[in-house]
Amino acid sequence: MPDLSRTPPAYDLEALKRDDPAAFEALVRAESPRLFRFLLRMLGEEEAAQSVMQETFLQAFYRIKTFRGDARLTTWLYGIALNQARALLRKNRRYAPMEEADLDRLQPAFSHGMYAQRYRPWPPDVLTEREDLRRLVREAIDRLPDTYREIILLRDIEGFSTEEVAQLLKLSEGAVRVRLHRARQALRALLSPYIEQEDL
Amino acid sequence: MKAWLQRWRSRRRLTCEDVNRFLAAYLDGALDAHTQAAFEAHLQDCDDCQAYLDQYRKTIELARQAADVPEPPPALIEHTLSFLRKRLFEEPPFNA
Repeated sequence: MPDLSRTPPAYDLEALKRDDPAAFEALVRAESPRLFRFLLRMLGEEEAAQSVMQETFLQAFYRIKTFRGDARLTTWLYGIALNQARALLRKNRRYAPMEEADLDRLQPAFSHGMYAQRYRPWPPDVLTEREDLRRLVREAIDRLPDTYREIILLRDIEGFSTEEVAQLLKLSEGAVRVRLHRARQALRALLSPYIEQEDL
Repeated sequence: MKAWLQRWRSRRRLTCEDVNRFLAAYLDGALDAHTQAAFEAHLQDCDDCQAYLDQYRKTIELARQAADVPEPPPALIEHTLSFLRKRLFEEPPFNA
């Protein structure tokens, strides 16, 4: 599971709200590398990631006085980045993600409360042996509808806590878990044929 | 209460479908003590749920591993600061 014990850097919020350039610079220096990687995962292109990151900081600086401190500053910053990235994705979509109905078909089926098919553990070496697995996983994540891809990126890859993801997406923690669960199950079903084929 | 009886009673309350529905909360450590006990009791006796949980955990691990991206370009921070200086302040704003 993600490392939930990350200690966020302490930013001088009062200085940021006074438009103190040194405080802004400290924020940019500390948050840029991780924010850039997040945006690169989301957008797939360095140039786009850099452009959206710059715009994110700009918006953050314009809006810092409205930050009330209900969430961590980092969470608030990622909220701005997410909205910017979504807008760009809507304009420049590189792929056609699946529909909600497709996602339904990737959920496990049950009969009288029991799984309708048998499952067995994936082989332990599956994470290391299949050379093209990383590409297959990335392609599978990219096929998910945007709201599901986002939640996998934020929770499972970036390691935000469920509470933080809930703040970011303006959902309840329960709703985050439901969406995350559907996304993970869909991803599992998309990957399963490749992994089980390897296990023959 | 005897352990086997407690397990049987707990298991009786949860089906595989219930266990599946609780997977995300279980991995978050967000189940209440009673539900967690019932969840684990069911899991202990159900090969399909154990296998499904294994696949579910490995899916999360695979997603994390596949999401490796290159390190940011070395000039990223300076470019970003330069962009912001131009947009936010007319004079060099960061008293570096």
